[in-house]
Amino acid sequence: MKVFVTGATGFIGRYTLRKLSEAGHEIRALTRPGSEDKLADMPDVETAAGDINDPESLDGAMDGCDAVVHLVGIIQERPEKGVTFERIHLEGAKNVIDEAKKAGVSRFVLMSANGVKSRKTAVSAYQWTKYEAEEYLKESGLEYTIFRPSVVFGRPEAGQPEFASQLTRDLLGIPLAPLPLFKAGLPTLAELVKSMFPFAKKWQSALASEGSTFELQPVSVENLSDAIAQSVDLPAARNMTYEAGGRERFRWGEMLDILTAASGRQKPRWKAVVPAFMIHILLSLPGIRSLLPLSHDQLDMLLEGNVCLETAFFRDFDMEPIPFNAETAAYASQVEAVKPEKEAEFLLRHYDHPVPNTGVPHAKFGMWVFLATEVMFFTGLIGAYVVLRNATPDWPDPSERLSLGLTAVMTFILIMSSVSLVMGLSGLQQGRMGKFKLYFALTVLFGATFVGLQAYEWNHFLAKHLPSEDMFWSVFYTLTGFHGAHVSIGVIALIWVFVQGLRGVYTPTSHNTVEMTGLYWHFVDLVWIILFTIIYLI
Amino acid sequence: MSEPQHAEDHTPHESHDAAYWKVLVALAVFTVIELAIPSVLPEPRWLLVVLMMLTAVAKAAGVALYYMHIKYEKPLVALLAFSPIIFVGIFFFLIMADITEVDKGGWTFPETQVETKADEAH
Repeated sequence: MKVFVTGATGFIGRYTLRKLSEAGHEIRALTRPGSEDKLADMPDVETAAGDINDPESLDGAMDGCDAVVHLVGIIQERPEKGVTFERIHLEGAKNVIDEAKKAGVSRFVLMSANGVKSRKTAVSAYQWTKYEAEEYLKESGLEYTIFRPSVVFGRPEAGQPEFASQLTRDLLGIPLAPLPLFKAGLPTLAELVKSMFPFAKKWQSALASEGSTFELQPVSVENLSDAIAQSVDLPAARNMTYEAGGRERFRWGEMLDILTAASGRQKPRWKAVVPAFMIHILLSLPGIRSLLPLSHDQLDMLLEGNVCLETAFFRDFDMEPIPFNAETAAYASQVEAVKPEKEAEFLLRHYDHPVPNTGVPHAKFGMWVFLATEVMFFTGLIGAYVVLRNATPDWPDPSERLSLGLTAVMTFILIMSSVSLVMGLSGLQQGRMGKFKLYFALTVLFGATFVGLQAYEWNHFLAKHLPSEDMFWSVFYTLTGFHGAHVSIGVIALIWVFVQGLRGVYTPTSHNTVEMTGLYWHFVDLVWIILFTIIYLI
Repeated sequence: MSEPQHAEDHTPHESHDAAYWKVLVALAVFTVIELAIPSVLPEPRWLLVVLMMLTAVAKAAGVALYYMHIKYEKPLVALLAFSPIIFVGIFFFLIMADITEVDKGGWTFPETQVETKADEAH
């Protein structure tokens, strides 16, 4: 038979191609334009360029094929790129089904999912979009076979999403932290107590089975793809919907223990009950979504559990059930997220470029969070100053004790350093390296001059007034000291960045370090503006 | 993730140079004003403090908005940048108790109390 396959480059797709090929079928695979290379290692597979969301590109693609296997699916939406469940699962499937009707294929195999349900009862668009695709297929008049798999395990290729390796990477990959046992509603007191004792074996094993009550029924990708390949011409599979699960069900905690064992660890990891609503709140905070390995949808669907009746699946297809255990899941800890040669590129991209979820590069996000903590640090110091000053009778007029002229010059120098820094950065962004070097050199000079003047000031005052003399001097040295330390660190950072810049490390499109150092430097300037006013002027 | 998009992010910077210099002039002017306020307007003191703090905050805002690019950034950056201000507010509200005291329904500065203590010490 000649079989048309969509989603062929995906996790289940690659396995399915192999099984179809072993069964002696001819294969034509739909690939997105530009992705043909992904199937270069399978020379027997004919490729057809097209996009399931572009009906015109599918025109005639299935002509001469006897069956269609539609596997395209996504786990996460990226609405900003137009990738939504509705568009991919429903509209895409409709386009493929329509074209299959035109081509007159004799069997349409659809990859659905366990737990799909109507719009009214679904907890996620993932579920109802797949459900409506099923309905559309059933009404199309085509002979069909639908697969509704539970979670699918098996060694993926680098970069392909697969639940066991993702869990291993995202949860087990975090050392020392407890593995979360998600729970709908509030945990009981007993559960909370047990969660706090990682070394209490009995309590921990009780948690593994009782902490999270939802169950999963992992099915091997070998079994699933085998069944798909058989279904294209199996009479018994005509107009059937198969729930595809493994022979065993596992509670979430047990699953985590299996994955722990699969990663080569002798003892189970520490597990703690986590109310799901807390994760939902966390996910709602701006920027957090991109840091956590799951979405609102995924959490809701996880809590529903993922078990099914696998009887028909193993009855109709000729295969041996592959169990899910520490041996068959051993691959999970060996899978790399991204191919090593692509890793550098990947890291660079995520460091320098905005990430889709926040639109702000990670480095900049982190810098601003750090600066927020710095604001609080100086707030603490200034707060102490305000309280102490109010409690101290006869606070001296600062202008009588301090040199306003010198500090006014220092203030102006620091402001100048800020403007020269932005000018330097702007030169770098415009690709004008001369401008960058000139202004950056000035920035370093200004910064160093400020530190020098402050050292002179301190030296001058310390000769006559120790911090212990009175409250005024104590506060003066504390506040200007902490600020001076910040400036000194800033100068060191600026010098380092300047040297790197001279060596040609930064380019108009890649210069995050310069920008981040700049943010820090401007912040230090900003703090001085406040300190100058409250210490020297008021 | 595409390069053109990235280039687009940076092209607007070219036109900021003029703004940077204007901000510098504004900062310098405000600094001079700050230095002048105490001699021009020494009393009442509360007004002096308020004016000085307003000038300082205006300067700080200039640095944050223009030099730290908040004005040109996505709203999330502004959110991150201004979020600590809420906590600064909470902090200063809480230490109000150390600066003032509740006296017959109103907030007053505890000057008398401090003076008494100081007198006792003498």
